[in-house]
Amino acid sequence: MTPKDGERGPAAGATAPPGPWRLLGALNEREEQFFLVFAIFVGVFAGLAVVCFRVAIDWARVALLGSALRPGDVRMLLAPTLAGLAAGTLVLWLFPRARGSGVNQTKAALYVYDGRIPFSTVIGKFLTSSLAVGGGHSLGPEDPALQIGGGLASAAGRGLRLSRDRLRLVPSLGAAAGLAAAFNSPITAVLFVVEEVIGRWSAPILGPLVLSAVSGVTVSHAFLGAEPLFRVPAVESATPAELLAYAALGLLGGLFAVAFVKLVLHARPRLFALPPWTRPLQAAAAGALIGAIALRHPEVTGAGYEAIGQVLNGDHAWQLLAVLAALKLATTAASFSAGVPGGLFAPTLVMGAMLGGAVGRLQAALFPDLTGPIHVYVLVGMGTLFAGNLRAPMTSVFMILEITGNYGIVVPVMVSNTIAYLVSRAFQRAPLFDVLARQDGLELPSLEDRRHQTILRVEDAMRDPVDLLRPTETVATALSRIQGAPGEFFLVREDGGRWSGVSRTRLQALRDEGRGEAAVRSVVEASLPQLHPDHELESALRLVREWWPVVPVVHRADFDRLVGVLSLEDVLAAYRKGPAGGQP
Amino acid sequence: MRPGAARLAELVRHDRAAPVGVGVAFVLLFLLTSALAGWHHQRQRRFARDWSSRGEALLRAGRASEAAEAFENALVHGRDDPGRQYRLAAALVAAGRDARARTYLLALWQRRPGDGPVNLELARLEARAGRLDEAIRYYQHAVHGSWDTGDPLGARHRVRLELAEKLAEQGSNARAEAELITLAAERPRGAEESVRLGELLLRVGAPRRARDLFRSALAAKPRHVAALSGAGRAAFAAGDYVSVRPYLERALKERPDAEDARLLAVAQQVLASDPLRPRLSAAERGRRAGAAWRAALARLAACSVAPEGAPPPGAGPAAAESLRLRLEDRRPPSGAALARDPDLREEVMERVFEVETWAARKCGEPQGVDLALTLLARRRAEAP
Repeated sequence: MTPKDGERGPAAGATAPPGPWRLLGALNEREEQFFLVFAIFVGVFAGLAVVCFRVAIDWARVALLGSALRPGDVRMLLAPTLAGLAAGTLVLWLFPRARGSGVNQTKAALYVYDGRIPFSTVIGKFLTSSLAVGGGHSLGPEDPALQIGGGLASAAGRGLRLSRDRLRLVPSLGAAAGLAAAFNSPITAVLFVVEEVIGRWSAPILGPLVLSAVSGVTVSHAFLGAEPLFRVPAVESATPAELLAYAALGLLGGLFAVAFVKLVLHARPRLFALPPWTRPLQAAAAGALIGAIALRHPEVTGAGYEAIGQVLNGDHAWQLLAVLAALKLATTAASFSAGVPGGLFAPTLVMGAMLGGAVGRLQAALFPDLTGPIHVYVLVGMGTLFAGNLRAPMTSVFMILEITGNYGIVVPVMVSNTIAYLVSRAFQRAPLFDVLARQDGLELPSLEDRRHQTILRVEDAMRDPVDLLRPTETVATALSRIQGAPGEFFLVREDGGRWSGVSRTRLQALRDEGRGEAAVRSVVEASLPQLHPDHELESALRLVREWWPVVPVVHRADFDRLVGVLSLEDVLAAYRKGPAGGQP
Repeated sequence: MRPGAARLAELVRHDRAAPVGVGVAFVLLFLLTSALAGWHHQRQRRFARDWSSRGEALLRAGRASEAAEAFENALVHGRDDPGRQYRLAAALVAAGRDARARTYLLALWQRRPGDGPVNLELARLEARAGRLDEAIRYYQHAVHGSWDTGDPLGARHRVRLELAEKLAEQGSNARAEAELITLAAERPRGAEESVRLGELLLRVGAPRRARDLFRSALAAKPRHVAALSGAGRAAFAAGDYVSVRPYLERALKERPDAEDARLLAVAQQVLASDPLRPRLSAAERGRRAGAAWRAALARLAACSVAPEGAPPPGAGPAAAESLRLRLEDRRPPSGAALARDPDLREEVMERVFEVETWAARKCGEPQGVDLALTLLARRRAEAP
């Protein structure tokens, strides 16, 4: 879209801005270009904030749990408990909007609050999530980073007084950059934001999203290095026989995801319904539970990337891995349901890694000759739980590809993820984030809903072709030909695949004026737009609604070939009828 | 609502405070991030260094599991340090956690496939797991890989020696011998290393090269027991029974050893039984050939009645009968005739060797004079 002339650039004759401002002024020449530059700026801004966030989490971790992977018992028990108490208190008294993961809050900013995320929420999310994740709560930094990025972008957009339309999109740019900087993966970040935050595929926003995410990752790499979050050994392609094991992993992952989602959706509203003053205590209790479990299994604490690294490079028994998966499920559900600020992104990956490792080890024990490297199962398990828990199937596949950089893993990932997604969907109709939003009193659009919507197309509504007028025939001849034909408006097929039309009333008026010998071509009322059968009915509606009583529907490869006609009545009738077997 | 860019232009013209505010916030955040990241890196390096030092100390103290844990802690604060990853793998190897060590080493190998120490550790792990082919592949990578130690040539030399040992274990004698020859030619050696190389060459069936190495060790240390023993054994294996005696006698004088004593006794028996030995009188040759004839007849008789079992090819009853006929088709030669006629001696000894070779194949390694005759038969068969 281009701005209207009156809004384009500095007015003629106005004094040009001096120095560097001229550059900014020049950006105004093209709003889209400006938005791309703004996306980069937002990406850098969010990237800087997320670098600080990651440093803060690390600082909190060392301060509370020490610098060793296995802290001492006293620290292990006290740190998550006290961190939960402190974070819960801050959320209750100072930063109520910092509760939860941050994904839905960012999405709500887009759809409910015109892109506004209060800056206090950014501060609150930063402080409380650093404390909770660093203190050992079983939550990750990615979703908060997404909200922090979105919040900063929103603040920058408001600071620059962007239009409401643009401001609504701006948090998604910051969200992509924040997530990309936190997870070191720009493609995953873009897809996750599209699937979970924006909730629809929109071509115009994709470019700025990618630029923003890449900027965020670049900043993160510049300040914190390009080390991966966990070391991934070389991935080898799975053998066809192994696909059965991956299918079993998908089935198990789907059921596991359902268990997690049901547990969270059951516990969260009940805990929230308790008196508000109990919320810090709930967070502390969740921390105490985590601390108690971590005395034996420290892998359940925090985001868990070290645990993923250990499983990827380790030799754990399948029984231990299965226990760790179950414990991670319990601890994450406890932290999240208690309202501790932090994300589900990393814990989902940890659960998946443990589950995948358990399946791989079990398969190796049962069929040693049919089992490939265990770390491939670990990686596939991560994607599987992601597809099952968060119901972001595209993200789940591309995330694993981005982590491994190897397309050999794509088949097992797709097999396992698809099954997990379908199983999860079969037992839990609405995705986790959608239900969480409803629990919070918000009805937010979902990509999954859109994915399963049936789209009405022109071919579902169009009628058979009507009588055509020839451009060379006279008005009188045309009138005599259409004398018995139904309808008021008639199409005229002109040369070169162009179409126009004229009404019966106008033809009759012309004949009455004595212009019956005039060629139809010279009296047509309008040059008509054309539709194709596969056009979405929604877009066709704009054409038939506004000016044209009937619009020709022509073949895509032969514009002279009329395959049908469409009128406003046809469109409305199609909407009333709906698609076969479903609602429109 | 006007588009954002138009708004921006308006701001630029009329309300500079907003973009200035955003710009200032950006600069402040940049400065804060720079300072925080610098502090963070410094602290991470310190933690990594401290844990790493602790790991080294624990590894030196033989507490490998704790050392591995310390190195893991170090890697939490500096994941991308290949040196620490290698030390962690080494600690895991020392702790017997081979599977985990292997995964770490493979990850390191992917990043640095030409790294000598990584290839060497992988080779040892594979060898320990019984995957000798894989082990040898990694050993070869290690030999030709890069070594960041102070003495890369020495490191490669040691790896090649280890490789030769594994090849010998695997039974790839020719490849092992090739590696050992390279080693022998590669750099100046001490007596110990010469002895080790010699022992390996002896093991892979290259006794003459082995003897040269033992001799060079003895040139440096004339009373080196292992070198004396090795030289004696190498001479024995090479069929040079004359040289066996001085070496093994000296070795036994320094350190009694049952095997050396046995080999010395056998060598002396061979020397005493050989009618073709230089500088013997004709009468002595005839006497020895006659004794060999009788011993062969007795051996044939004893071995012919031995349980057949599943005789090796060429050692069945038909072969025995054929040998018996060949021995008995002539009258027993007299000592005088054998002393007088070298062709007869040669013919008699030829048949004696046939019998002893057949009997050794059928009835197993003989003792005493039969062993001596069998060894003489082998030496003759191997002679060019």
